[in-house]
Amino acid sequence: MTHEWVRQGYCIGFDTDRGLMLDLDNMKFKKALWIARTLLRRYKLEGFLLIRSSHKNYHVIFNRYLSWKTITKILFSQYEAIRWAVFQMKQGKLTLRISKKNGRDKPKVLLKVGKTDKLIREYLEAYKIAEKIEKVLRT
Amino acid sequence: MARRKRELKVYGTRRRGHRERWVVKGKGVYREVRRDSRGRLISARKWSPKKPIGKEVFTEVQPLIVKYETGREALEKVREAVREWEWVDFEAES
Repeated sequence: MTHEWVRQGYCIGFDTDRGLMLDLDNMKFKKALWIARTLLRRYKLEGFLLIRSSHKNYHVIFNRYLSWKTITKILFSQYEAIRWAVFQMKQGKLTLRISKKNGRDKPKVLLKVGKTDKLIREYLEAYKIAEKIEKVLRT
Repeated sequence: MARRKRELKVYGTRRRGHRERWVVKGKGVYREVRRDSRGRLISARKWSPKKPIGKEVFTEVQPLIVKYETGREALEKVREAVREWEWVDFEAES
């Protein structure tokens, strides 16, 4: 979904400025996968995690730790994520949702490719924390 | 070796409390009340029109940033932050 306010309750987001994450909105699975694979090969990002946030909307998290300068360079080279990138640059950090939002389900992990020991591990830890929080607070 | 601090963000429209009219011993009184997302009472305190409304009654939209090192710490901190506030539905003015 393109930018949407949190209208009901709250929503938890994963924050980082150490690695590359992408929010790919309004595209098919094939294209999201193609973008992830291309970036993986071009910048040697070690591995990626492909996540579906909602219908036709995907998140990609790359494993390798990068400098903020490199992250900016890669983000702005990607036309599909440029609108999201502008908002993230304003904050100075990249944020992706890891919990329910406005009644929509939490993001679902679809695919793991390559190494998962750096940023992907951090993301998955936060993802599990968000799951636990939802269990505790919403039961 | 100290572990690197990681961050989670909690988004949404939130407020510390709101004003409610209660009937106590047949008389109407206003109270500054905090309730959780299910409407259960967390706390209540006196509210008087003579005194200005506490600043914390107003809604806020800035995300809460929770810094953590371990998963358990994050769970506790986020739970505390979520429970501390009333999370209200966002209504756009038009």
